[in-house]
Amino acid sequence: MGGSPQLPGQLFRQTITVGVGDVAASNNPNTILNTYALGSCIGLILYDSKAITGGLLHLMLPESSINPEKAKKQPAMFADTGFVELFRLMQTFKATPANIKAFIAGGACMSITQKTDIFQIGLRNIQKIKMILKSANIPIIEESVGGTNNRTLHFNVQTGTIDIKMCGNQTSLQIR
Amino acid sequence: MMSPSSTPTGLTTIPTIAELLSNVDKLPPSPQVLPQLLELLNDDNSSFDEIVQLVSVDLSLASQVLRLSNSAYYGAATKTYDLADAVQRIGLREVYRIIAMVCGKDLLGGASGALEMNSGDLWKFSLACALAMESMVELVGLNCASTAYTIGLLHALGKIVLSLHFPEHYKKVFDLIDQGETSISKAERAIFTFDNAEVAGALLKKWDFKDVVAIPITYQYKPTKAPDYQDLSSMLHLSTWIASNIGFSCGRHAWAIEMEPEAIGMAHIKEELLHGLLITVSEKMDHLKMLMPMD
Repeated sequence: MGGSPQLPGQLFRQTITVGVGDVAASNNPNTILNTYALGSCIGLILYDSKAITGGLLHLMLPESSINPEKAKKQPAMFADTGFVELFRLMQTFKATPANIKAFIAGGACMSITQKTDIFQIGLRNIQKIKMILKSANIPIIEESVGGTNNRTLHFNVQTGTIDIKMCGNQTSLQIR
Repeated sequence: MMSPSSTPTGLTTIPTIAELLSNVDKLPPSPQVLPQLLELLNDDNSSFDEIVQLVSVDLSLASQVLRLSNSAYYGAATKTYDLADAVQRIGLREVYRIIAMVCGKDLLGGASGALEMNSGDLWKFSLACALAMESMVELVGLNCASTAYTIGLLHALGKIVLSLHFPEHYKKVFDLIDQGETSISKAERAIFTFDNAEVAGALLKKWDFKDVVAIPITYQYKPTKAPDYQDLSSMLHLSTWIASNIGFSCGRHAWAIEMEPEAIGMAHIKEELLHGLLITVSEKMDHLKMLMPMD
């Protein structure tokens, strides 16, 4: 038996936490992308399973037109400029646009009913990101949106597995 | 001896708010310095020395004021070891913010299994509300930034009291919310006959906070019903919305609330400005991490 010893992948695991108004992408198969406390915000995961490249955007508001100056400094704060930034990062990491698939989570309702959710930011975020993805021809494979609870996401770049935590319950799915 | 009253759920008997607050063993520690300091800050006749003297009585607080006033957040080139010097450097309002933040962490910083909140969650949410309140009063030109900050910071005290007294009952509160379109306030009323906002208001009165703090907190879910301070009550209603939207809401069903559209007009804030406040408060929370670690 020759060659170098095999080391478990966990030894090299890299965890990246994506905060509110932040974005990250990686083609390192040992990377886990996390985001916490998605309320009315949207967590958008893009994944190219062939290139093993994944990215995560945690956006807060639908339109950058509300504060163009802020959008220049922190594009990931908004759906429109945040998507452009994530898409650019994915391509930097050799993802092929035609292979990219999407998952969205969050967009919770800031009230017990849509009727009393006076600004409907969660709903508007969902509508906006879906419109953007449709225009970019990126299919949404799965979604976990709406409701009145926060969500936390853990995304494994190697396997495409997404763990969704909500109210102490955890569900898992694959975006391949 | 407590005289129990029955609840519609028939779970167990629930004391009245007054009875609840008479059980000091199950109450958070009173932040005695806060109401006195707030009163001095709002009194044009109070002197700088009076404020320094009040702070210096509590050695632990005084040392925290000194330590934090020397932090990078305030950009001090040299360190000071004198409280009066520290107060002069950063100003009375900042001293109050530091003290309120430290007291708030003591009161709200713990975990709560009953509410499904991790350690520090409620404190961070309350800080975000405090910054939202402060930003809103500045935006509409009200000269009560410290009072507004206090209202935001202490608005969720009732949740701590109720969860300490009735951890088991919160399961029923959440069950009621799960069953239909019921707000946390309505569900709490169905189980306890009162909600966490009323408990917080009564506790703050007991701790000698003025009506300007207690009333907005009591009417945070129904600002249109507030007998006074409807503007501050409405701002608090909107502050919880802001803090939630920027990712600080915590606990199960934290969003099970009913927003009152009238609150926007009563707070004298335009909707577009509210959206801008989401960004402002989010930035202020990021900046605050320089002063005090939050994770």
